Amino acid sequence: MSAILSVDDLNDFISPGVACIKPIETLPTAPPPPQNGAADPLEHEVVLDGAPTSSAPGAAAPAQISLTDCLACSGCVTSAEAVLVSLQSHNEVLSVLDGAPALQLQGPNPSGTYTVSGLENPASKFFVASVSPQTRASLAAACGHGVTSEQAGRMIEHLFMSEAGLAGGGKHNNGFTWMVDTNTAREACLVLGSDEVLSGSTAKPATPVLTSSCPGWVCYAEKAHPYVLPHLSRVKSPQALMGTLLKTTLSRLLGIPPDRIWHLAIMPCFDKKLEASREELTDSIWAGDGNPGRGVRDVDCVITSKEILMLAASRGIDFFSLSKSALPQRQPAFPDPALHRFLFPSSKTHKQQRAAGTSGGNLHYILQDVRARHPGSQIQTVRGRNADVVDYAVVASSGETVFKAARYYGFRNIQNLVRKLKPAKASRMPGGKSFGSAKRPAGKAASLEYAYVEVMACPGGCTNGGGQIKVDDQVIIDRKGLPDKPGPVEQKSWLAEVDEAYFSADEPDTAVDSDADPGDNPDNVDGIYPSRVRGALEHWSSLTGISLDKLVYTSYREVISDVGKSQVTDTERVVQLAGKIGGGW
Amino acid sequence: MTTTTTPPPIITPLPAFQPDLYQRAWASIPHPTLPLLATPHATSVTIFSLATLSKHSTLTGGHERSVRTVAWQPGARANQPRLVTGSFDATAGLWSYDGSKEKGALEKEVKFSGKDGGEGEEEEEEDWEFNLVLEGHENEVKSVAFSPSGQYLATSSRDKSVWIWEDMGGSDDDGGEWETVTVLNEHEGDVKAVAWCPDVAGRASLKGRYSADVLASASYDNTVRIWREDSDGEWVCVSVLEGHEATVWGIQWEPKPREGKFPRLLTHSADKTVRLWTLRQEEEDEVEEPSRNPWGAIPNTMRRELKEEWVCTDVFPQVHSRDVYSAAWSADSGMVASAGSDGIIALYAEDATQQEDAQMGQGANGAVPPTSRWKVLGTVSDGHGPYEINHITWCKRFDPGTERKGEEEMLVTTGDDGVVRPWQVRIP
Repeated sequence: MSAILSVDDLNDFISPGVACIKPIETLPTAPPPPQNGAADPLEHEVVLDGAPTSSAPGAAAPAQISLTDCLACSGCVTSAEAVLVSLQSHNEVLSVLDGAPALQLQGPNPSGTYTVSGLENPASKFFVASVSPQTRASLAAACGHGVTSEQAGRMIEHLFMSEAGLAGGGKHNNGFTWMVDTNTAREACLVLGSDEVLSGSTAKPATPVLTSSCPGWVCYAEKAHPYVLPHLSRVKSPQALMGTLLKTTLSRLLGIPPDRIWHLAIMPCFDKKLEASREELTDSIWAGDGNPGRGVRDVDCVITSKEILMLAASRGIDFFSLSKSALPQRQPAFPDPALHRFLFPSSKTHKQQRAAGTSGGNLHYILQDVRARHPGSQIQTVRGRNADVVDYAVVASSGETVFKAARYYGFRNIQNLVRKLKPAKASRMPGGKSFGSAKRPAGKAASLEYAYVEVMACPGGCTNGGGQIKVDDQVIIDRKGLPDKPGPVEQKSWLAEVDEAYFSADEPDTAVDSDADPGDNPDNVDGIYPSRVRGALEHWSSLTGISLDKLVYTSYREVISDVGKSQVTDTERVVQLAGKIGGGW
Repeated sequence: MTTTTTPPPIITPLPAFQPDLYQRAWASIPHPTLPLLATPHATSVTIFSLATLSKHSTLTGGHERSVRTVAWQPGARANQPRLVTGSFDATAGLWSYDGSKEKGALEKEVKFSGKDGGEGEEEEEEDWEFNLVLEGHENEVKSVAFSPSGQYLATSSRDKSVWIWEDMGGSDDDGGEWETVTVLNEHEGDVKAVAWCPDVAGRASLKGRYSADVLASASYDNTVRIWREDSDGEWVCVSVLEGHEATVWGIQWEPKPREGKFPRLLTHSADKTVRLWTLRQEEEDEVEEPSRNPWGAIPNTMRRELKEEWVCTDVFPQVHSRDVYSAAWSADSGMVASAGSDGIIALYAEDATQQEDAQMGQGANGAVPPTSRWKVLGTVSDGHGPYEINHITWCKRFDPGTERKGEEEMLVTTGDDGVVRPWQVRIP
């Protein structure tokens, strides 16, 4: 998978390798053919042993590695992950907050519009943040004593928006103007995702459609298994969708360029930082030529659940003593009432079904949608070789299976999935058997009958993400009185606590029976109203004047790397020679 | 220097396997039952016949880079041996040999037969078929090993991970169907070797806490890790063996453990030592029976984790002056042989003079208390001239020079000179 920029070592995550793909990425857009058979100058861009090669032309710019480049790389020559991660960290948040006085929301004006003040200072930014439900669950579990996710959410709001938090200090007493819940964007992604799978349109991805909201999975697929890219759902992840929403609407409604808006997302994993730096998720897509490029990011910075505590501590705030009640002032009205209703729903977000899992519930929603379209059908579940592989089937009352899907979490299970999707390689020897994991051409693909597979990198789902607070973090050991080295037993019970906080987000236990039919009503799928969501999306598109395609869909690209391939580079030649002389290792 | 009273055993070189490979050879792995020896070198594997001490067949064309490791698949039919190769091209390959196939039937590349000289079984070099590629490792595969039943295959790589694959069945024609069971990422460096505990009495875990299979892995990070499958079907690291001061090049489980004892683990390292590790078993029993605890049930938070404790109980007398690349423990005689970069072959035996229980008075297989010591029985210098010795193994003899075919054991060393040499070992 991508460089899992996690400080911790976790079992099922993929650790970085040594090869850097940077030389390939710096191909100039109009590559001049090498003159007089001179060696391709790009091979010498990243020098492994420190000595510049003699034939490197002076025109070769020094290699610069940014977080964007390392997006799909499995590792870096410098291994300076700490440097890369620090570009998006709680320190970055603090330094941006200290950069200049924030732009202030002004309005509504008599005409009903909103503006901002403070634009004279070119460094001033307008601060907005979005928080994931997994983060709230993680902090709720860390608080302990029965604190709910909703209460934890309010504590976060205090931290980011009130004077008890960040706005009480720093150079400019800057806080955030809005703090939104990514659950709202998630519901939109669910509806879009289901429409994508169940629509008969030819523009949909190849079957089986694979979830693409997990950046660890996406980066791994781009780098190691590009043949699955046509299968990836084109719908953006909730983080990305929220980013596009905030930037497009606020820039339009407030009359400011998107680079004046600084959007912070708080997420359960480090890979979301890499997702935020994708060129596919910038304003090049919706304000530029429509192609990925180095534009203004939809999400400027991502910090993890763990980093919330570090952020608070850096300012001398004890997170756990922040108030759990609502902010004294409610969040200001969003400049557009329809969007305000979308972002801040008055009725509580419907309670998450446990069957949906903690990673967004894409598969669960689609199954419910299929069931709503086939009245009287049932969902059958079959567990696979471990808890992270599950097969699902929607069976009509007639007994006919109308839909097959599955869930594959974790690297080892993803291996088995991608192996089944791999196209058969042509046989190397005439007349001999075909190599590769597919034995017969097209034979293997047919056996994978799923229409949809939810793929997630982290076993156990996003509540077990790399950036969540861990059972062996000192703060948890202290607060829970755990032994010095918590083992698998404590780990499992900690995860159960986080999951419990995730699923019981609201205080009064409005027991929602997951088997109770909300009527076989296609307009209420699992508590979500697709028509309302579609209406909100249309409104968004017309408000901004940007086509919905550009707002909600994204694309993927194969990362080409010649490392390890048969084309022999200078480096490889040296390695081979060294091997012959008598080295070998 | 030996301190036994008997004169040193004689380690005598026998004629090398023919032909010379003229390429660095990495290992020689004897088949568990058939008189065959598999030697990877460059991008191929040569199979030698132990009956004739000459080439039997070759495996070629399946890998793009150096093949470093092979393992015979247990449970395959006698006339259809199968093996797995591990290569620097980051893949593992499954191969099968059909001894009953007619020669020359629809075969692929034309190879010059040259002087193959394989009698007995088929001489046709192209009878090994490349059935299946296992991909997934990010870079060079260093070691492959089958679990005793053949159900699991472990592969390890420079990418610091150990993968466990499971044979899901599937027709023989296609090489079967393999799935990834788990990917173990806890080593901090290149994983040089993996080895499964053989199916011996004493292997079964206490109270069924884990399944029977145990895997050990040795790494550039100077440690050995032990892995077991818990009741949830998850593979976990149950112990980290620390003590070596440099890369651990390999491991072998005790092929014939002492009665009632868990097999010990033999390790050898770039720190020039050979060591033996023993599982602490008594303590486990204590934890298992909380009802015996006079203080009542052990509270949950203080319950010992599902871990094992391994202790280094022996460090073999120092013989090597450089990395010990390989060591082999004989099931029959209990002797250990080691070889390495310095070209020295050393032979050790467990000292049976300090026995407390006089259960069985024979050699190193008797019940010996943990205070046993190992003695050097003899050494050979420059076993492959100035070349490094990459591998040493015990191997049953089937050649005309023995009167006990299939019973007498010899050593086989494999060196950088491309020579695979058998050594007669006779203790006078």
